[in-house]
Amino acid sequence: MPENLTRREFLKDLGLLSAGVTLAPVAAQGESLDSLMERADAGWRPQSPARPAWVREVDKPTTEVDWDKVQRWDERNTAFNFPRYFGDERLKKLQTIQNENMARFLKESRPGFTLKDYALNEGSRYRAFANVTGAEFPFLGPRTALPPEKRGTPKYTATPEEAARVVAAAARFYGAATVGFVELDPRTTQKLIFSHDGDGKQIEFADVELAEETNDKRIIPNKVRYAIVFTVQMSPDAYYTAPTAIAAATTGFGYEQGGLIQGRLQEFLRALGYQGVGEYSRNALGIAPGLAIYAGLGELSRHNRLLTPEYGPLVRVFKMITDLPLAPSKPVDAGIVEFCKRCKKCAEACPAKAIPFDDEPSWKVRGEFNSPGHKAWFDDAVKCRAYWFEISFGCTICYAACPLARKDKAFMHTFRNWLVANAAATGGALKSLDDLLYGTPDASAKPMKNPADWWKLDLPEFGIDTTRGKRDA
Amino acid sequence: MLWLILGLLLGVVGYWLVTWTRARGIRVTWYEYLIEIAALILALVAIQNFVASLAELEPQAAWILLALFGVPALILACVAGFMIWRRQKSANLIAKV
Repeated sequence: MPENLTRREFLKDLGLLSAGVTLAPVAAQGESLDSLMERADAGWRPQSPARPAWVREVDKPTTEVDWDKVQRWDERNTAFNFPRYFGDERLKKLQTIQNENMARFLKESRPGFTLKDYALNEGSRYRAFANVTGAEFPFLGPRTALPPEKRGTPKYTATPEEAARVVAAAARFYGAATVGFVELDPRTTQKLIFSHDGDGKQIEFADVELAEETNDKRIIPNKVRYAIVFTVQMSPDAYYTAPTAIAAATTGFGYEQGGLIQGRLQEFLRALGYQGVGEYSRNALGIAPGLAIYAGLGELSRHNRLLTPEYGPLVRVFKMITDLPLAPSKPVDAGIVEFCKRCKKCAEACPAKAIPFDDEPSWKVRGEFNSPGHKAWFDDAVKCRAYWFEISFGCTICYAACPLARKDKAFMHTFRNWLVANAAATGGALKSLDDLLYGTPDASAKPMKNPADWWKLDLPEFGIDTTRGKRDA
Repeated sequence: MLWLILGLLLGVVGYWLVTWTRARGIRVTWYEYLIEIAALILALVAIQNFVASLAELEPQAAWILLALFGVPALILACVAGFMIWRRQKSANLIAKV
């Protein structure tokens, strides 16, 4: 260690080290600063949007091919053509062994082969498009999974807490973001189930054994009273282009995902030995934000939608009901309602002027389109929907504008969430900071991000980050 | 990986600084250490927000957050450095007299 450094040398060394510390993170990413900033442009490849430097493009694949010897292949030659390679007799024997082993593993409760494991597999094999013509789908579900009695085993039993954990794990595996549970009580939470669905069918709770659907009714047995409420993430980058067809694409995609997850869960529950009734169509069965709030998935926001602590408003909400006893989750307070009192960014951004600017939520509804009996910032839903026609798709600009609709990698978001939960007075300042950092859509419906640039982004699958909001059920 | 490299760099730099100041007989008071630690924390917050915002595909937020936390970090580091340098200079003068 040199001990005769001059002050100038000391400051020079310090400067070099500071530069090193500052640039190290960029180098650690394996990319230059320029490539980080311009990733969206020149180097983009459809198949390799952001591959690390050690993946080299080569002229020939690493598998040698002699094209003169290659002919187009007949798929029937693959080993999945069991009769061809096993012969009928051996195949029968193998299938007998398979069935016997399946039953034995189940009886032994071998880890990975218990009833809930089989049920998970059954649910994953649900094929939505095979049921598009089925009149009873999806309220009652596809009902193709093998129930326990056909496997020769009793139905799944567990404590409500354990069952809730298992259902939440399955729901997340099938694509749900967050999952919560509500026990329906005729005096309270059962009132969140619609009296009639959008197609005019009455939803009736009755002392019957099995759920049923007739020409004018959907009948839910009284014992089917455990609501499963789950969210599906929507893509922030798509929403930042709202109101456009790109933003509408993630809305539509979210709804379709929700439908798929519902079908999978219905099959999963059936394989466990229980019933699962669901939405006959998007937004059917019950009041989604109401059930989600009681399930602890978030709070009711100024734009009169669910606002979650994990994804802000960028979710779609789905619900179904089962007779598998599930421990209810508790409502949450993440400071969101208090934050909404001060922020008002969604109201400022709304081109239809459908979101109120009132400081406090109110009991007073703005029309028959609002369900009364709770305090809320009731939106003028008719003005909102009318604007949808004008813009040609669902608008959703209020979702994009929300400061809680940002991603979660930067520490700033964690700090903001902490302030939202613990220092309500900072709401206005946080809104101003969000305007500065991420921009703001104006009332002329100018998107926050240029929709043309969306096509250049390197987004993850489905445009969402599935590592967000991970939590134990 | 980023934080591993940063941690290694900070360890090396910290060790070198402490050794160097002791070898030169430079005295650093507790409040100067405190200011330096505050500067370091702000610098780390600036780096995290910058890199993470770029990963979020939010370059505008990245640069603003870098400035928002990085500039106070630099100012605090300079203040602490200046205080140490000034005291050292006056100590040297006294020694000469």
